[in-house]
Amino acid sequence: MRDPHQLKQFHGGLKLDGRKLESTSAMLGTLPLPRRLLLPLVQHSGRAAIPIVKAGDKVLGHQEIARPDGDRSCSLHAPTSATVIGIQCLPIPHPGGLTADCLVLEPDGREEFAHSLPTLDPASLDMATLVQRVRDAGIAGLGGAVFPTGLKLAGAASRESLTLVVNGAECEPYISCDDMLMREQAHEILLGTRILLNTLGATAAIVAIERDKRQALGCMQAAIERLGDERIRLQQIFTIYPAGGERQLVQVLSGKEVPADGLPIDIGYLCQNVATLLAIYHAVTEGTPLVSRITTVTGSGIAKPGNFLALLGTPLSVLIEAAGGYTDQASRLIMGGPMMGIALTSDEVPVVRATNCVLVMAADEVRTSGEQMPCIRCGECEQACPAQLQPQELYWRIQGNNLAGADELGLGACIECGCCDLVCPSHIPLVQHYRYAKGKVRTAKTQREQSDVARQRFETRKERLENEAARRKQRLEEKRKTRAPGEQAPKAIKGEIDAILARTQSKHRDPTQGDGTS
Amino acid sequence: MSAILLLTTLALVFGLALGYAAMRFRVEGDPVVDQVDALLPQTQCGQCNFVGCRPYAEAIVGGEADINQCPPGGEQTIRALADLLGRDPKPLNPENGEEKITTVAVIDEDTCIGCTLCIQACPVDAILGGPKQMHTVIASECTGCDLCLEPCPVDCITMVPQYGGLAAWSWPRPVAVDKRTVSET
Repeated sequence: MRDPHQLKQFHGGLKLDGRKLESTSAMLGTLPLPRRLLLPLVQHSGRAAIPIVKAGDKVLGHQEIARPDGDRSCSLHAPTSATVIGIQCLPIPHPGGLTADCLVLEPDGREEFAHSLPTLDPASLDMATLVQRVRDAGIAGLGGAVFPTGLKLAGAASRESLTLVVNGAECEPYISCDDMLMREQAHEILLGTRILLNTLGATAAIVAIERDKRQALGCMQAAIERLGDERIRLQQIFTIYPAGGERQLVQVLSGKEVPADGLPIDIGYLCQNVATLLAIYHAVTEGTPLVSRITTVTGSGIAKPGNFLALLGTPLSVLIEAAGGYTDQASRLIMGGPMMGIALTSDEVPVVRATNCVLVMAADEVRTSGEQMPCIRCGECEQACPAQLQPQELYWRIQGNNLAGADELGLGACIECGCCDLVCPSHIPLVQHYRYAKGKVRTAKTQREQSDVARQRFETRKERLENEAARRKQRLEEKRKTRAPGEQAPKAIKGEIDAILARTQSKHRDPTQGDGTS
Repeated sequence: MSAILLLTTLALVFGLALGYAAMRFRVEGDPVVDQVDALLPQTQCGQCNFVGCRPYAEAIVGGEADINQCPPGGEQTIRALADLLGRDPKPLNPENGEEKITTVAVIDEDTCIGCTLCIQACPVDAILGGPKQMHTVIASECTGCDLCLEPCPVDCITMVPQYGGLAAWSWPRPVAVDKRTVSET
């Protein structure tokens, strides 16, 4: 193992108080079977899954209940045997407090499981089969971004000299679910790592864990020695937030910077979170889909903090109850950590793939917008930014509605880690401004794309109408031409027309003259 | 004498080169019109009093129209046009209409009599149907221009706000609370 002092550090970042001891002192807890499971159709980054069951259906555990809509989507499986209540529009863990379509299941308590996916032999696994299996098992990155893993692996296929990074760096304070997982299932994580190493043909795997996770380090070290695969090695890293971010971690391990408009895979690194690797292991060797995850329940608003193995769809209230309920101090409910988490208004929202932590904070730990002061251009934020941006300049441009200008300064490279927020002596909610601006820039881009389509449709239509008019004119012309040689006919016709005209005119002048029927 | 000769030759050579370049690298169309057109929302609604976005773009460049006549584009478009053309931004001309949220046309298929009038009115071919057949709007192609409303003899078309669902959600602008102003008021 290399000394972490020899590693290159990324720019900025912060040393934060970990606050992880509270939730890691107890063993991994289990939960009672909830009365209802609420499974949002979107709990990954991408398109909503398409439900394939209807109200009243009896489903077995691990049975697929929604299939993916395209590559950038994820299937959904019943966490346990249950009756389908229906599809309801319910609140989901979302920063805007939105509701979305959820499959509602009522567990029957029998815990019968389907075996729809056959087990695969890890030794003779090819890339296409692995990607298909990962898709079938509904696996998305469990580190927080919930990007469909199948798509990420497919992007890494046929790359030479690939290094796999096993991301055990859980840098955000309070969260300890990956720490717990590494203590409990180190061997299985490594078996999952080996599956990827073999199938991707990667040269090495680096298990990256922060120095202060003593127990996890010990467990992983022991498991690596037990497995005896010399391609896998452990690497201690410094505990600096956000070292667990994909780009930052790769920079620490390789000394190379991931391009702002690229991905770690572009410089030959593939990051996988430890929980994702475990899910891949189970999907391949047992054929079990992703239906549960470990969630940390912690904060000064929780009586007995701990980690729990929760079925996806379990309401957060069940988790909080299992952790001893709220304390008197409880004030703010957050999904995720204190830096990047989202505030929730209700604990009736379900655990989704991204729910790594349920944090309940006291009122005096939360900063309110009332404390904001004007920017004094001190530059502290620039010192802290791990993406090497100029947060204050971005802020000024966004304030001035110059969103295009902010985009030019690399707004898109912001990882929304919240370091600038925390160090700002004026307490400006900088990340909120960046999130707002990013949304606006994205909307403007889609609008531009749509207007391009509309322009093309308008022009095609104009062209079509012009063509039609030209054709009609041409037909008329041709008719005239074909008539031209027989000069007689038109004359005769002309005479007839004149006669008819004369008749009608005389009729108009004297209505009594005629056939008498009018 | 040689100086005069040299200068004349140089003038001739450069003149020929420039003349050739002008023919060889001639720009088709008016690039400024293209740039203006690219900034317009392509709703093709005609609220600017021109028969589409491109004619309006031509009119702006030709000095026949002002930059504040596009209600669907709103303030953002006016700002972008002002930037491009080096003019001062001004508020939207109320005679052309007001900025509204983006809508999409919906045909009540029970009421539709299949007259095809809306199909002929649609500037982007976003309505499907045939004579005496039910019509329907391709929502993803509809620009929300309102042009199909007027010709419909049975008033079966309504404009509804565009709903993009979860994917269209984005973070709101943080409310700026300045401590100084709070304590002062």
